[in-house]
Amino acid sequence: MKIGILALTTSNYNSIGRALKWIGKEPIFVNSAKQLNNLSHLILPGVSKFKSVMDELWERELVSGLEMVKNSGKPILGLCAGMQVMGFSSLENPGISGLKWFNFEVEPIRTREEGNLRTFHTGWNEVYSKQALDFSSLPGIFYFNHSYCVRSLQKEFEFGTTVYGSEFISVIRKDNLVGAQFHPEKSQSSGLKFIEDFLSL
Amino acid sequence: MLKKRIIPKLILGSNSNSDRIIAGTSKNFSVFRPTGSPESQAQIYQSTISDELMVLISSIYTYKFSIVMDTLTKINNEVLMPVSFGGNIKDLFEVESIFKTGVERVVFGRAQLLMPKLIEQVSERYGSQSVVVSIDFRESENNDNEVWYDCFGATTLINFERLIKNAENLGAGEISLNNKSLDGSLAGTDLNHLIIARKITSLPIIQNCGVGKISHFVDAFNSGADAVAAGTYFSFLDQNILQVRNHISSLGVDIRN
Repeated sequence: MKIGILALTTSNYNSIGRALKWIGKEPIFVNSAKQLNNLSHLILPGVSKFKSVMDELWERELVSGLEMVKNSGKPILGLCAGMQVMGFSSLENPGISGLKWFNFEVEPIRTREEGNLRTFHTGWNEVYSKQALDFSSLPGIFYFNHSYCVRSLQKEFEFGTTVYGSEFISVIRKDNLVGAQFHPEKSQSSGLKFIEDFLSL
Repeated sequence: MLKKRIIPKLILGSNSNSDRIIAGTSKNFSVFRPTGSPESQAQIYQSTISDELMVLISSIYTYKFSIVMDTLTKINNEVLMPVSFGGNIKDLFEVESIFKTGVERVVFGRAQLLMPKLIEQVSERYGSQSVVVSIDFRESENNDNEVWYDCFGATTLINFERLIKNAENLGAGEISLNNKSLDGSLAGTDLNHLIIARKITSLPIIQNCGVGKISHFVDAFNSGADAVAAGTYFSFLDQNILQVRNHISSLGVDIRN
């Protein structure tokens, strides 16, 4: 098993590396498109903005490499902003295109009608399982820290949902592509279980 | 639903003139009381279901930045939970080093007046969810709307609401409220200012300073805190965090169990 973690400067790739070491895996930190070859699994982290992640992917000429990994059928896991860029676009940074692997637009977590809700969804919350039969970690409680989210997507790709004011989609899945809005690397034992589920794909 | 958070707090400082960093707690932001090695303290919190760990530098400790980074790396090696870090962060280079150690959020204090640009830059680059602004104040004698605030080498009265609004405008993702006179006192937290802050901001709030018993957590949660942080309570009263969590949960607060 050769697990790659994309080492984006505005991401917490070290933390994800640590989580993998807890379960006895030795990840490869991917810094160039060349290193994307021959991986068994790829993790796309992101703790920053939609635009910061996309800008860096373009600047470091990683977009076509990612496309190639995706087309090869190797499992890819996008985390937080790394999941969000798997979509078309984001209201956080209008005009910036995502990877367009999923047909969604990222929107603010707080809707207009939810005036008393905190702007940020920070902390531990439940993920309800939609159809995640082969993920033993779901349903579970995970650590979130974000202010934008995915709300609408074709039902068949909704893998897990979470309620914060209203419901949003916290886990997406389409064939070899998985995305999670939460941070499994910060979610103690439930997070490790989720990563193990992904690695078993 | 989103769970309320309980955040153990580690203060970093040192004994005498040794270079070795030790963890401890603080009192009134001025006295440092050592408790043990940062790694072993972190291990304890990892093994007892903490929601988050807050690591701050003692205000009376002069340190080498690289040594603090080593310590943060060691702490992060021991835990699989979000770690926030604060202590006179100077520039974006330091911020980048801090995030590299695995820290999830940086905490800024007086920087909101001294270096507002830095906070803006960090929230622009890393997103507001990575930024906590800490309001470190003392209450004034007869007016809750004005607080004593240390800045520019002097202590001045500043409008409390202005501090919160300013933090929000600079891109804070969460506010930490620290009434310094209650720090390490175990006498209960400052609910007055929590309630005021809750009315003027929709940002999540960490209530800090003064927890000495279970009801102090519950009171703060019921007054609008999203998280409650405690240092002295866990370190010096020898409280078992698992038992504390069970107790708080049994009193109707929605926390992770």
